Amino acid sequence: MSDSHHPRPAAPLRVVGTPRVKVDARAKCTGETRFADDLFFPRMACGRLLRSTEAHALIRSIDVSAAVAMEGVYAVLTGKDLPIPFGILPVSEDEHALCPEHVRFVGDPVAAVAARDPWIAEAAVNAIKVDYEPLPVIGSIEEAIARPTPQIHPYADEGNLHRKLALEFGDVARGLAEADLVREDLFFYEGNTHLPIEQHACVALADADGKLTLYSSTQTPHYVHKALAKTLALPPAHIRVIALPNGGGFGGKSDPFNHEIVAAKLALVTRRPVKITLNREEVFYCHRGRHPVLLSVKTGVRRDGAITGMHFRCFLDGGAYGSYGVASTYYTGALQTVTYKVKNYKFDGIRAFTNKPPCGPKRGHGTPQPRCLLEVHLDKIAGELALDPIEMRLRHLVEPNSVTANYLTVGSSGLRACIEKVRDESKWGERRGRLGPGRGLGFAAASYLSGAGLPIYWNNLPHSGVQLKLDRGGGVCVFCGSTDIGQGSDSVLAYVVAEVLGIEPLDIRVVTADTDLTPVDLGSYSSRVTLMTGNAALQAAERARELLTQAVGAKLGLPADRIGLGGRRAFDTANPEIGMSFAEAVQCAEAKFGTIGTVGSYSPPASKAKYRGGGVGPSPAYSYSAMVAEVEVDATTGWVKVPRLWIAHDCGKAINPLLVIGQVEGGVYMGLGEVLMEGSFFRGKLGVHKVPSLLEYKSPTTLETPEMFTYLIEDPDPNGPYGAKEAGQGPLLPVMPAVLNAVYDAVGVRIDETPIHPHRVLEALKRKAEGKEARVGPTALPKLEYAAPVRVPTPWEGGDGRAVAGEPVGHKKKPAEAAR
Amino acid sequence: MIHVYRPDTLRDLLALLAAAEGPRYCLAGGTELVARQQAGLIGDSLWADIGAIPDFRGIRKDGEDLWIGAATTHSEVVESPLLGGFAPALVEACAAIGSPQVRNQGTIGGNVACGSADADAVCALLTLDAEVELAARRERRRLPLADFATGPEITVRRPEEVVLGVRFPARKHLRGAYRRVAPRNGATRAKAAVAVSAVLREGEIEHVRVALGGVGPRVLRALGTEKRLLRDPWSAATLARAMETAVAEARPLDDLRSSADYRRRMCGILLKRALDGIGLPLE
Repeated sequence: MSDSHHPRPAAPLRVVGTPRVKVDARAKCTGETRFADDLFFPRMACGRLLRSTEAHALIRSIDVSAAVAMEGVYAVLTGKDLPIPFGILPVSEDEHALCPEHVRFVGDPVAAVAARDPWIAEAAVNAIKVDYEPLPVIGSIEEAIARPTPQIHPYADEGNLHRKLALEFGDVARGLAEADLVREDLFFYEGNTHLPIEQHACVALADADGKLTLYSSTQTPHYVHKALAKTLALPPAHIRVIALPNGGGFGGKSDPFNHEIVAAKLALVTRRPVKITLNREEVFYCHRGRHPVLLSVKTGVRRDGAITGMHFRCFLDGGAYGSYGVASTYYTGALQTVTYKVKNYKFDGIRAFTNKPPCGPKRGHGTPQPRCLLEVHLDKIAGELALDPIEMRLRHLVEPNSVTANYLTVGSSGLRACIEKVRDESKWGERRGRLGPGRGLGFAAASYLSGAGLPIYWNNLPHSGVQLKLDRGGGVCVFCGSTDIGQGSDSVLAYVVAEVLGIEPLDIRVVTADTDLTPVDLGSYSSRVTLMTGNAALQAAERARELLTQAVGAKLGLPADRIGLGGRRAFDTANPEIGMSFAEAVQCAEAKFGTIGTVGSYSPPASKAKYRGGGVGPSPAYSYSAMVAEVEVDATTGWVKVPRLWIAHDCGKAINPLLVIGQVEGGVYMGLGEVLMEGSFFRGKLGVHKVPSLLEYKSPTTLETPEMFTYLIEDPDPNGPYGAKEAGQGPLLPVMPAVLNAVYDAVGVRIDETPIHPHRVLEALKRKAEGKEARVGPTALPKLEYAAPVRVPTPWEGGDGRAVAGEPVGHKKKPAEAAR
Repeated sequence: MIHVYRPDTLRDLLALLAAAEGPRYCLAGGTELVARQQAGLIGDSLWADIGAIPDFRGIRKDGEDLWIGAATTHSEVVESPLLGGFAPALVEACAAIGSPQVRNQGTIGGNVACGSADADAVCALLTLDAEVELAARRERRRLPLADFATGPEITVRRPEEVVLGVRFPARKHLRGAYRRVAPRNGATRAKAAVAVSAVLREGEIEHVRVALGGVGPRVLRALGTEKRLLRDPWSAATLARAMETAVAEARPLDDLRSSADYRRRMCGILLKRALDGIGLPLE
């Protein structure tokens, strides 16, 4: 792979780097795009799930007789029909498509029907009688710690703590002892959800041979494919999963879901196509959104702000199932080290099971919560040291091409350029502190992965594959398993191939996300697609180019390296008028080599992190973002307004700057929602979602969206295609802390929690007026015995990325083993 | 099951409502009714769509009164020059409702008939001394809007009655303002709201009505606040006392949109802002 990262640097780029329409834009704008719920098939039945009304209970009995007897009902399923558990991570396969005996949150599916139409389906599920034996409800992190029984899952590390882990790099106690100032801060980050405009939907069909096809709005068709094979006990070869364009995903469609497995089973049972489209309330129950996290950080710094030691503690409220939670927990500790140098670093991570919809990956996956605290914490430290918070950070940036305390390999870094850009454009130096009453500026920076270094299930196969088929007519078809969730991944494939082969993106047909037709790509998560599929496409296209130039060279009697491709032609670079059309070039190649198809694949470089838990954090490349937010705080109503902000994002190289800006601004918008108003609020004692509707779950509208000044910093990374790094997640990260820091600058109070509730702003202002500590937020951590840390010497202590102590012998309990 | 009818005339509508049994609702924009039905708050019922009936439409001067047909949309209120002159608080209140799509669809009649405690238009209409006109097959009646809703989503409308429209005296030189705090700037219900309509003479308040939305079981007339504003000459002290009275008159609850305490405090702040909005100097 490494030889193809910088293809012919001398040739100017024609497609890559230019603003272009997305390949699917016209269909989206005219309404022609078919989403999963747009599919209709003859004889299609409507499936519907019955969901638990109890937050925590055992199922004594289920009586489906009334539903079965209804006219127009084709099939009724309960947990005994789908007994095999599943889950996205092999270490937490703790879900059942339909709960066999134990329901764990309000919304957990217990039965399902297929019927002639949605009204009959709804009446039928309502006719099913479930007799529950209620169990005590665990509603919060504190309760999960205080109440080890009844256990929500028996495979938990202890009681209702799903995972309890600790990692220490170097010696934090020594680091704190070396410091001139040690400061500790607490923060609570509320959970929130993705809010995709498209509700999850799927259609399953079983053909005459008993083979299954599932169309679904999923970000990860490959994992759905695996989950269907497991839960239905069918050979993977007999299952085809097709991901349709997602009407927004943001991480919420990255797990295999109950309704997908149920639709497949119903299709097999009824021999009819079965569609299940979730309603909005059900989407709130599927959730997999942002974990609520209670956090603390203790940091030792020198007078100049150099970090001598840092200790993070993160308590995650995981909800009722594992989902990506083990990875989420590690992520809350992983990326603190890639922005500013941290000499010694320790992380305690605890994920609690609670009787609420399961949390999982949402844009930023596990990193926004600790990043928010870290950036607020550094703002406070700068205040104590009487340093400018930006200048303090600039002194201690992680160098490009370096290795962090936790063995993350940083390649390119445009962080300095990002910070300086927003500092200068916002006129930070002259405006901060001089905006007048109630107005302020705040700063934060962040970093994110361009794809995880390791796959979700252990294997040594490529993370992404691309096949090209070249047509005699001059068309090129790109096949890839990646899923376009609106971010433009189909377009990236077309741009890269068009660039290499000298044709236009419009000449390229992109076939993606079909497990029968396309080579595996692991899915649209962890900001991996542009880098990984881009590299795979580049390799496949370079190989096609090689065949074309050889064949054309032979035809023209010239060496292959004299042949250029461009303007839909193959030509002699020394005499460009000599040549042929691209279609003729393909014909030459086909005559010489037979049918023309090429493949490319991508695997990330090996990680230096060899300790247990080191699988989370490594990435081929890290993106960087920096933001200055301006706020206006109304001290009478507590209302916080963000009139404008400046954001710079280092994406390595913008394959299409329009799409990158769209991703950056979309991330900023989502971050503003998290900091200003969004929250998944529950009646804790009952585990009942307070706001499972678009009416009451408030997210910002255009009226709250500020003027955004967006700057792309292009610092090409050797691991990215044309140097490209991610843009989909990183730009969300600085938003929340920048706004919180700006609120402090505006009115001198610290809101150490999200979202910023206006009444809490008033409370903080009152405390300030009364001479108390001018903050609201958590004041203590739950009492808990922490896990003994896995100890890893840092690179500068001569470490090699392996642990020297604390690694458990053997393997962790898995759900199935615990159940036995 | 919901049975929807679309009568062509008022007479047919009233006959339909009179003949029906069980719960029956009149459907105009559907912004509230459909949402309630989707939320499971409305079960089997008869819905009579009034959209085809001309009697519910129009904004007009009727003698000394202004009359607004029940099917008048919020957008039509916002754009009406007549109401801009005689009901400025109502125009501001309707502009604050929902989103552009909701304002194009939702109606004054719906806002009144639903009896919500935070109904924006109702809050402003109370400051206009509005009356509700109700029609049934055998009887028409008019009653003060203040007496129409008696509790949260509870009204005195009889099942066979329909809200025909609202009317209020066309008072000259009336100023008005509507201020609210909400979880966001658009597409949301208010946490708390204050409407003020007043006539000023030489910097003094000659006539004033104040209503509070979202801070009680129904939209409240703030009679004590009005008295405070009329009793003393306009001054910072008068304002401060009026704000205190408004806070005292509020009867809010905690719910998922806001705490009661926050709502109560906002009544004073919003009163001040509404008075600022009608041109009374504050500091």
